[in-house]
Amino acid sequence: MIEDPIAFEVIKNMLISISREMSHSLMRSAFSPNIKERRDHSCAVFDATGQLVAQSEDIPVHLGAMPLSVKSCISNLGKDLEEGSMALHNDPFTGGSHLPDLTLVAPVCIKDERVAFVANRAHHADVGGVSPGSMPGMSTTIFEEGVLISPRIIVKTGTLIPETVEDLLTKTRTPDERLGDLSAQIAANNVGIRRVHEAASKLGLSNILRTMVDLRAYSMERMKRVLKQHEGRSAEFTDYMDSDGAGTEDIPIKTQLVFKNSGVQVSFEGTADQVAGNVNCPMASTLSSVYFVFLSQFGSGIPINEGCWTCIEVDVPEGSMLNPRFPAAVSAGNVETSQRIVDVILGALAQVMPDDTVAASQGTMNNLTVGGRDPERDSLFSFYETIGGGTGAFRGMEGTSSIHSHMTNTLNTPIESLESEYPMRVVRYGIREGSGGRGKWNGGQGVVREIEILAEDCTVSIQSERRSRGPWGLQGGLEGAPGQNTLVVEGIESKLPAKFTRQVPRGAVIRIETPGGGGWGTDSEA
Amino acid sequence: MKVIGVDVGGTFTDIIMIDSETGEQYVHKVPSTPESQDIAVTKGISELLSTINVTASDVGLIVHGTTVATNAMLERKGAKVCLLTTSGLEDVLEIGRQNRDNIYSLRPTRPSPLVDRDKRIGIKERMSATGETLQPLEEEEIERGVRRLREINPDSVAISFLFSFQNPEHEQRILRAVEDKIGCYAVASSNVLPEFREYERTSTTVLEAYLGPLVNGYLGRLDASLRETCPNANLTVMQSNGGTLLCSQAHGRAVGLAISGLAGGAVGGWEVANRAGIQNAITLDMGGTSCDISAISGRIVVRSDNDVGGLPIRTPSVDVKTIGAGGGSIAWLDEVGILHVGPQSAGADPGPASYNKGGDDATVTDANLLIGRLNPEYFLGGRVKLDVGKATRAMSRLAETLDTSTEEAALGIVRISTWNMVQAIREVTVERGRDPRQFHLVPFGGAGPTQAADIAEALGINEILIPPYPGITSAYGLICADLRVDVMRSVLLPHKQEYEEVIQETMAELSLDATKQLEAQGVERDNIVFEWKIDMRYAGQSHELEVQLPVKSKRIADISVESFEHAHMQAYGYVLTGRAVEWVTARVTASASQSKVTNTEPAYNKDEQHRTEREVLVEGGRSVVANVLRREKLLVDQHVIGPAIIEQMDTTTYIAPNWSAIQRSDGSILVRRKDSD
Repeated sequence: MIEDPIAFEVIKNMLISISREMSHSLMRSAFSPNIKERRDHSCAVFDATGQLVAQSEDIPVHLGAMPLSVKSCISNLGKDLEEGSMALHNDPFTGGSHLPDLTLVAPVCIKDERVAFVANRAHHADVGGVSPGSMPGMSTTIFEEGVLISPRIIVKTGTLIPETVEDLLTKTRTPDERLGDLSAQIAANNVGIRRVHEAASKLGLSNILRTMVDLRAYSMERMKRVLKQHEGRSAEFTDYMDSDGAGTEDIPIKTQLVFKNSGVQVSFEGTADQVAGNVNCPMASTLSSVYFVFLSQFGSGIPINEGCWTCIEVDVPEGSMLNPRFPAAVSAGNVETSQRIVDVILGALAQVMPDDTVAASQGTMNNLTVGGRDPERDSLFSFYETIGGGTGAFRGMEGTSSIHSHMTNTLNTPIESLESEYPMRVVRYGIREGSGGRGKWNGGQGVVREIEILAEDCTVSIQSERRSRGPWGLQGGLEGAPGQNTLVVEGIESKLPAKFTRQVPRGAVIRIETPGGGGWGTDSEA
Repeated sequence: MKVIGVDVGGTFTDIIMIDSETGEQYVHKVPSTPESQDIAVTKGISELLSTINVTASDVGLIVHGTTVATNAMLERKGAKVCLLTTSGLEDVLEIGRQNRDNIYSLRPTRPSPLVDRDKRIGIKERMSATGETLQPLEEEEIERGVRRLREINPDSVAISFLFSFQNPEHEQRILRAVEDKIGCYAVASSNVLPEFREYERTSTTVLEAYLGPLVNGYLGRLDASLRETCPNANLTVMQSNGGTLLCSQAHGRAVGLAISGLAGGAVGGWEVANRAGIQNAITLDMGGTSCDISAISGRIVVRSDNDVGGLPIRTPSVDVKTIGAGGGSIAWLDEVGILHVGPQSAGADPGPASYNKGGDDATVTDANLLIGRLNPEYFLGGRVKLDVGKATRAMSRLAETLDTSTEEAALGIVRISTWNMVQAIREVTVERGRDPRQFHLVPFGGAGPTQAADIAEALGINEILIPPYPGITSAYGLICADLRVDVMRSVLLPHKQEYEEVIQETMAELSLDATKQLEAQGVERDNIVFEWKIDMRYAGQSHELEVQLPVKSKRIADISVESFEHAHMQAYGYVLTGRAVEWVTARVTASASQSKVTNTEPAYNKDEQHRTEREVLVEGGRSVVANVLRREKLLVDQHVIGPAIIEQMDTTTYIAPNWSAIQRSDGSILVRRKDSD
């Protein structure tokens, strides 16, 4: 199949290292904390038709989303996307994930021919909209979430044309920082372009181009070999989102899997229509979540490129919550809904390969935001963090406690850092005993985090899931405990909903108990 | 005075002795004794002394590089530890930073904590962020903690309370109680690592308690038996920070030996480069199973953190990247038929197929043998005979599946293992904004010089410096190292003129502390060299940058912010003018030189040249005739034109076509690309 397996291995590694070097360049020179510190960005190399060839290992939620954006730029801009130009894009309805994620696409031209593309996607700190950070908790349309950018050329002959991003610079609260981040994205693409040129002159353009084709074929072949083992099997599964934050509850996500033709068909027929709140998940993020599960379940050691999912056919009804139509609100789609998509696919896989599927993990990111006025520093503050939980158990293996799973992997805030910088005190940070679902192997435990607010009238927001239904177990394993949000004021406890924003007095304690993972197998002692 | 460096590796224990007056050097190698490293150390030193007829009492200093701490961490063979920590936060040690290592894992795991839940004891006490007592530590609470300890009966105790770097009073009180009433190995985080971030401080303190009894026991035993062999010698040990420590002072500092074994290699490689006047060096220590890489510009980089076996350690460590690429790395095919090399290794036992000790996997060493770079009769100076037939058989099996010739398969293995190292070097250079072409490659270890030419070629490096004894460069590094102490304390203050005095005082206190520690190791105050550093960041950032300060400077506020902005520009390409800046952790390094290694002409035998020829396969499967020379017969300034091979007891150097080498007077060989002038 592959003509020169040794050259193949060398060029494969070189292409991966090109995307890694782009990623480091971007991280080093960006401004937004999301890029520098949470690594919420990805870089990749594509062939001349926009097929993903190699990607840096950054964050899962960009996986399937990047190629859609690149193809969207190629088909919209055609020949205008010429040497020295770069195109910008964030439209969630044509390949974007949510508005803060800006994708910049650049062609690589050798002898007047587009031989490849390089692109990067980065989470900008603010792209306008009704709230700072462009991730409003209560939005009901995309217009409230920031500036929407359909494919457009913003760099010509290597230079950024400021007029082409005037709308962005007018609406964002931090225009200088936007320009800085865009410059960093341009620089990263330039690193990629330069490295592809170097590789072509060192190893021969034709070898590189042939390896790009081989690489996809190689990954596809390896994926097919694994998927073929389940040929002819099929399964169905439905799970529910707690709420959309705008009044709708128990929102179904339904999937059917059919393994055939050495591949798999994934349909979301039967999933709820798009909702009023912002848990709608753009198609690109839906695809990323699906690809994430199949890559993690079947693709160990397989280089990540478009070949990995040419054998995964995904069908999402248009106008559903997982493929919403303009102008649906989407900002929480790729933080909370993406987690449930993973659960739904795993639930179906558990019927196909019952001995080799993990039980449900916490299925939420537990987003906490606290804002107000710091009395000691006499200044406004805004604090944001996500909290880990339990992972699902597996045959022969207990779940892991108090850790991030699936579509996120951000660090916690050290208590000594939190208390030094904000008017808050951590009263308790521990493993939530007894929250993991019982089973022959138990699910991982969630977290208990209790934070005392030391300033008057702070605004507390929580975006969380799995507060009514716990993460399910498998093969007789019990479900993990659902999460719980509690407010304690002067010793009186009151239960808080899964998603809310409210004012709290000084001395109030917010207790967040995150879900435990599902158990695996019947616990004979129970 | 005679100085001995002794480095324990996975396969061999290497010993070098140098006469600090004459500069004469002697080397020796004995098989390691992993179950008890001190046996090979003592034996090797005795053997060396008896072969060269040196009086044992002339040996004044023995410097030791050991993997005792590293192995205890990797194999989880440390002490039974109890942790006393602030009530409500007993699980911090287990939760860590809540992230997973492998992003694409549906069932992530992490190393289990070194202290189980039932041995983590919450103590009622609380300090505020500024070090004020929010909840006092009552005597009854101390007694309750001591009672629990008696019930559990641990080997050692770690104490870590919230904000103890701001106010250590509670920690110190309970430490005294534990020392008085329990008497086992006990350490407090305010002594081990007075730095902020509770998880990293706690886990480092726990690691100290975990390693302390073992490491101190080992060093004590070794010291006692060396006293019999060399009655006048002080025993010092290499720390992760690239400096040494008198072994009797290792109480509370065992965690500082976490990568003792790796640090010697970087120091040794850099020392050789430095003596040759080289400013930018990539040291590449390639042994049987792994390859340790460090990119050094002007001085060895010591970073403030590190991890071993998934356990984070916040102690200063030489910046070394390790990958699984060595002579024993195994070549294998995946299910689609693509060739991979490593990270699995055949090690020394069974070893490569050609060792004929039962291994039938083709390895990098087998490949280098089959393409003619290695001499089957002169591997390790002839002590290991390589079996060409066995290597060919292993290789041809691989070649058959690849549908290629045995030769092409061997060339392919060399090419892929080269690429693995090239990628790692790019990570420590290009990805940190440095151009590898500005560096010299300094390859050593048994396998480094054999593939250095390929690596340099792939990176566009023009010059390679081969140390005099590549196989024992780590041991050489040991005798070049200084005694060194690193002390630090987090201050967490806004960068304001009014706090300048606090920083001054902190620096002075830390310097005094470091001075006392070096004096306890027999150093005169006047011989101590200090470095002042401080970690800084913009308010709101979660990563700090370390900034150098002039020692005893009176203008810390101005100078530190200038240096910080400069460093930020270098690292990230921008500065945030007008944004508030913070002082985070003050650091002082104190060092004192131990022995001066003088340059010397290589003690090589200058009679007749040893010269043969053999065929070597080069890229494309072409065969060329290479001159084969013996290292010890080379004359100073002698040129060797590639293709050529230089053999010596501890390594084989391959000089590719288009490269040429010259033997320098300091004993090293400089290999240059012909078209580089």
